[in-house]
Amino acid sequence: MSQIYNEEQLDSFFASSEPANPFWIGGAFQVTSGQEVIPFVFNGIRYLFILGTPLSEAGDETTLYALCAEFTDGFVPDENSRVIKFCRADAIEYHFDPKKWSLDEPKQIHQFGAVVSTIVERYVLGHPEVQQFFFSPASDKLGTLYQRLYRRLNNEGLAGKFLPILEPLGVFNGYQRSQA
Amino acid sequence: MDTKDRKRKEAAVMALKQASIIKTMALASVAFRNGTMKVVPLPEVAKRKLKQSA
Repeated sequence: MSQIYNEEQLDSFFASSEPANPFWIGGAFQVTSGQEVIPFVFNGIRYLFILGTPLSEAGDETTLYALCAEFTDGFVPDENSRVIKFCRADAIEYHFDPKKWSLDEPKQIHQFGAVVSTIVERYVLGHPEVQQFFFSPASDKLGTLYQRLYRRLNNEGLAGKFLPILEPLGVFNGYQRSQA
Repeated sequence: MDTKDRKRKEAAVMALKQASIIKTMALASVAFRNGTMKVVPLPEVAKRKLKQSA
């Protein structure tokens, strides 16, 4: 069992999922006004997709500005933007270490990416007030995968609505809705 | 950014992410307990063709 949440809490996130269906995406649970959790199931395994404003991620403004100086070359994100990440729901620790949480079937990485893309697309369409998104891939391999997913998603479902706003090779990736 | 600097920053970001999920889940626990957790349905989108792995 996780040290940071109990089974009952996890089950609450997945209460609407269908046990017989190995693929499922839930609604956005609003933890606070600037933090959401979207539960999803991939190949029968439960995951959490997590979004938070930069301020909620940093904890306070001083820390936020320090993090911006360190990680985004001083670029300060829009206050309503979201930092996104996902993890296995059953993780006890090291939630974001990809070596510990590889897919049961590595060849399904593209299918997994398609599910994550769908979550991003649905959130983007449902939250027009959120203008910028940021994420930090846990490995170079994942970074390459996410860049590919971004290009594909932006060419298809989001129809060119997003532009990169941070140095492509930085630790954080950032995208903003275009005005077009 | 050189490799050493990048690795240092990646490790720092991983620690930040870990701290963040602990905080988020603690807040979620409170929201579930207090009955204040709201669930917003997300719009449906067209199903995407999956690229097959090699």
